[in-house]
Amino acid sequence: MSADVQERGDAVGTAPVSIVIASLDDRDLLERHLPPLLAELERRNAGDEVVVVDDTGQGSLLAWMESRYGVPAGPLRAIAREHNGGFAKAMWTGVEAARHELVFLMNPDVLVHPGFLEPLAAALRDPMVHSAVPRLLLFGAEQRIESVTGVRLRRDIAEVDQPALEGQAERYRSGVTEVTYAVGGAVLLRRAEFLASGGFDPLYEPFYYEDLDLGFAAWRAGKKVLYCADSVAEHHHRGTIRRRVDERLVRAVIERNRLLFQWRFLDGEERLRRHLGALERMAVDAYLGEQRDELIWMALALERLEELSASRARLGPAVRSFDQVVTDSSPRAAAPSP
Amino acid sequence: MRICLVAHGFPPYERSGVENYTAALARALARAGHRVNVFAPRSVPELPDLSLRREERDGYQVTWLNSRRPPRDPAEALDPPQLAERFGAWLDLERPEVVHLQHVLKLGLGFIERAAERGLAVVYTAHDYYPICHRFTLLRPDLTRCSTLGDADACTRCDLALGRLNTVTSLGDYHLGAFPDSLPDSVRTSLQAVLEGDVPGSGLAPEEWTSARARRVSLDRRRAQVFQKVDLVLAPTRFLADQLIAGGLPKSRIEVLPYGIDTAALVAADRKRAPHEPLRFGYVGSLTKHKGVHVLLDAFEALDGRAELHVHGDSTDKVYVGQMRDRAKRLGAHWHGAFEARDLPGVLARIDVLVAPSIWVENQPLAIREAFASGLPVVTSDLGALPESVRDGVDGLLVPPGDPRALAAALGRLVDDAGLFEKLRRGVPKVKDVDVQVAELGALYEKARAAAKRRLRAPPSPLAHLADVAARHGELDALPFDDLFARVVRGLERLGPVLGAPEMGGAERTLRAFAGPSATRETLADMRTERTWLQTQAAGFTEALGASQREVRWREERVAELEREVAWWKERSKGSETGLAARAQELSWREAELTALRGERDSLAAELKSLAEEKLRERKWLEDRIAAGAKENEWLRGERDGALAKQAWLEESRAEVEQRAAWLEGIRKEQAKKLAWLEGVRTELDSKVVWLEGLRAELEPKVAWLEEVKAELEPKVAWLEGLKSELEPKIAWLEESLTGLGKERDWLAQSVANVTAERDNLLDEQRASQTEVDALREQLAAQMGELEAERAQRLAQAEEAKVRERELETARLELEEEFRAAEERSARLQQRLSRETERAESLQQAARAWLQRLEQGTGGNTSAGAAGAADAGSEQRAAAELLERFLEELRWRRGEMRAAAADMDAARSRWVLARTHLGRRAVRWGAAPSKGDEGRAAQAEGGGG
Repeated sequence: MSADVQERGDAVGTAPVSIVIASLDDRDLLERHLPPLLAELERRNAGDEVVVVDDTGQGSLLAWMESRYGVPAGPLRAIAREHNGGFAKAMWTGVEAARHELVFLMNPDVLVHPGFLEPLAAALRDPMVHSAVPRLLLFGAEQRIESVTGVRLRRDIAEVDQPALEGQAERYRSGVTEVTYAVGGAVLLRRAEFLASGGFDPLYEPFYYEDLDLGFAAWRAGKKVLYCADSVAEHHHRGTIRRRVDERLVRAVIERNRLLFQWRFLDGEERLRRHLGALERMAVDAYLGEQRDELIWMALALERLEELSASRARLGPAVRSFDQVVTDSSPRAAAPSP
Repeated sequence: MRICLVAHGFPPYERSGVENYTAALARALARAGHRVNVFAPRSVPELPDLSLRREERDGYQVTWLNSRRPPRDPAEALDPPQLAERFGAWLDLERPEVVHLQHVLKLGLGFIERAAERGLAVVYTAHDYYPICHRFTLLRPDLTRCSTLGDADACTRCDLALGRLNTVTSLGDYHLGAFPDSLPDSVRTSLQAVLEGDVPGSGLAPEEWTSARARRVSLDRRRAQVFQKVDLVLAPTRFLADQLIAGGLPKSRIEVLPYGIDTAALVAADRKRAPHEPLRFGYVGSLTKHKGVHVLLDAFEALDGRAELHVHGDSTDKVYVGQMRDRAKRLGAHWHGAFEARDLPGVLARIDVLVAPSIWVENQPLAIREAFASGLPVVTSDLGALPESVRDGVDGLLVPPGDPRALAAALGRLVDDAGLFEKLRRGVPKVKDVDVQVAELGALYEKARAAAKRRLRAPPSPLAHLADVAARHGELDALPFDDLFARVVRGLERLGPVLGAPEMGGAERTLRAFAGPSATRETLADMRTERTWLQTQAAGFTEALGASQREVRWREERVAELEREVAWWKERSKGSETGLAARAQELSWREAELTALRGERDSLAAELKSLAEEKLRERKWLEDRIAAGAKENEWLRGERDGALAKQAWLEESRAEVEQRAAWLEGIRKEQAKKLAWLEGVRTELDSKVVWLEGLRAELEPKVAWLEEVKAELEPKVAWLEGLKSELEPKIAWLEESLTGLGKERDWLAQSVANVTAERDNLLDEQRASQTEVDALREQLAAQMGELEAERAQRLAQAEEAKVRERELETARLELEEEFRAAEERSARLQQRLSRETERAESLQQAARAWLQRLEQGTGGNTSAGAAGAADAGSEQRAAAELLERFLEELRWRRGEMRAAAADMDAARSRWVLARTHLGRRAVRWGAAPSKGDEGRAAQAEGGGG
């Protein structure tokens, strides 16, 4: 980072940020969402940059970016992956290429609001904060905040808890609160830390639950994740993958990863016993209820036990147990903004 | 390979050819290592509709779909509601790779669609013409063969003709149709009109024809479209394949694959028959009209008992089965009825020739292949694909279809020509085994799977980084549900160690798996709650229904009551109408009177008023006049006063004034008189007013009475109006009911007319029968005459016989006499024989003694007695001669004796014979002789004579 940029960042109270966008051939989304982002960066005048990663594996998006925006142009860059690798790999590529320490990982279906970066960057001034997430409004609806996240157990099976999506948005309209993880489509984190941890865990490839894993691992390691209500963005939820992939397959991957996530972090004899019992019960319930899909989800997860072992081995020492992370990271009503 | 066989029925509930074939195929496929699941419908009343039940059997599974609702119309018959959806859900669980449909009757075209849209290989075996003929046999409802394939008009006529048959309840489950001869005249006539397309003659409205045609076109189009989705159609015969192609199925998807059957139990036994054993023909199969059992029975009758016929089988067409059974029994055929599949070898072992007399364009009857496998030649119809199964003169005989004479001739040839039977028996071919067919099917299934893959629209290729997970998902999704579950359960076994979980024993695992919060338990609890709620609701509905029913009953009672009331009112109205009319007339009269009185009253009142006004005017005028007079008087008084004042002064004019006063007094009197007159007039008027008032007072009670009457009548009128308005809807309803009843009556009248027509038909039949009976009676009378004549003849014969009997009696007596004489002669001869014998014996003894002495004398004195020897020699010769003569006589006597004995025996024989004949004739004379007896009687008489 050059000194003048650092100075300019300090001058507006923020450090420069690299915005990394991993994208398939989502030209329409970029057409809609890049201009406001670039305008915001121009407003910030902090030396931020935008790195668009073309994950089509064919360079088609890069070619379009070159013709459409003349990239590299100003803060906008584009790089192309040789092969389509999915969200985790594309983000890794982008973060590697980022020039600033603060990196905002962003999906092309996210529309940022003015001033979205400052509250996040402010949150990351605390070294114990692993990442920060804006108030992410699902399709721009004020009552549907996607980024207030937690994990809850239902019949001893973990599931994502998003209370602000389910009628409690009012409680999270302002302030800062701890959340279990930052939604991967709009998260500010530290480049070095991200790269050092190996980025998103490949256990979950091709998509979904990598962000939960990242945040949960951070909590487990003793850090925390913050939700900043003053930072606002909109998310056109799952607008990227679902347009190209069979809905049933997407759901199967999500549910598979839900199980893999729990299996990666689960600890404690009693918790394990209870969970294994719950899995058997889940299988029997699925069988008796003729729920083919549920059995497929389980079978898909159980086919990745080798990858699971390797993934568990990658985890460092735990500061918090599974249950402690679930409890400690559970979102509470947001505190006033600092 | 995972194979699903779909059939419209399956043993033990259905046991016709296709069902048994499917069972054999399932067994064979399972033997070959395939995973086979048979999907078939059944109807079990105690199970919920559309419920599935699984059953393990002979290495394969059967899944029963409970289907309790019969189709309500042709559209539902083609696509029964919900069955296909249930099948689709089942396919999603079981994930067969091949769906091999044997038939979709009762199941619906949706079965083909559900399999095809899942990308499964769809194979259909055409056991009949279902893909191209909604009646699947190319037979019309009158059981004649259809030759207009794909003609919508012809198919419409079939639909409408079936509607005609459905009106004849006596046909029962007529299956495919009915012979016109078995129908009432009216139905037969309209049936023929419908089948000939005679719209006016059909009795159906033109719009019925139009809508029926539109419906048929729509249904046939749908069937044709759905069969385009079948990847491979298997036709057991070339004939059927050609028909399917002609009907629009793609030639490239049709394969000819003759049936294989399970031949394990069917062994060709050595069937050498002894010459005296009758040939045994057999029918084995479904006893339906189109199979032609009636043709066989006609043919069997013509064989006149020269062979045996064994009929095995049954069907739901109980009327036809009953008729055939009765006829078979009358003809002396052996009726065996239904049999178990396992008994088939025994059934075939007990016949020599199978007869398959079908009248429809048969495909490839399994019975023929089973017969061949058992070494039996086959006699069948030269029709449809049957010549592909039976080679005329090689392994069987082909006869024109529906021709009992031709069939009888063919059967007769086999009866008469043992060599032909043996030749055909030797020509019976080896039958393809179902295992061979399974091997052929393996290749065909692969072909169908390839076609299915081509048919299925390729899913969008996933992104490269999704390819692996998409492939894994696809593979898991293609697993049968049980396999998927097993994979998960085994995977969970491996998960514990990966997570570092402590080992759990079986009991703990079970407890943790089942004793925790379970979605199934929650669902079941919810269902129980829901069921309880539904039961409560149902109870409520039942109660409400009961209440409704009670109310309906009450309403019905009320309606009946009202009807009675209406009837009563109607009855009463007949009387009341008169009374009412009188009352109305009276009321009218009263009203007229009242109106007149009111008019009178009003005119009187007006008159009174005008009089009063006039009087008032007059009175006013008079008062004015009086006032004016008074003023004048006042003035005059003033004047008088002035004059009196001036009396002195006006003394001279006093007289004049007095005169003037007198004049004025006269005027005043006149005026007073006028006033008095006016007063009189006023009084008169007042009295008139009083009279009028009196009249009014008199009239007012009358008016009041009339008002009262009116008031009294008005509620009644209102009540009557109310009653009328109340009754009017009821009357309208009753009229509507009456209209409905009228329609019903019309319908009943129509029915009665139909019944009458039917009765007339029956009467015609009865008359025809009566005529026949009369003819029979005449014939009987003629026969009786003949019998009477014969009786008279017999009586004459009896008389003659009596004469002959007497003659015989005489003869007998003579014979007895002769016999006695012969016996006496015999006795005498015996006595004489005894005497002669005794004499002969004594002579013999003497001779022997004499000879002995001679021998002794010769032997004892040979040297001394030479002379004596010479004497002795002469004596010896004399004795020998004597002896010889004696023996000669003895022989003669014996001959005499034998002759006498023979004579006596002959007499005895004659006597016994005569008695025997006599006895026989006596017996015969007691009974009427048959034709055969006549000859024998004549013989007997001849013998007796």
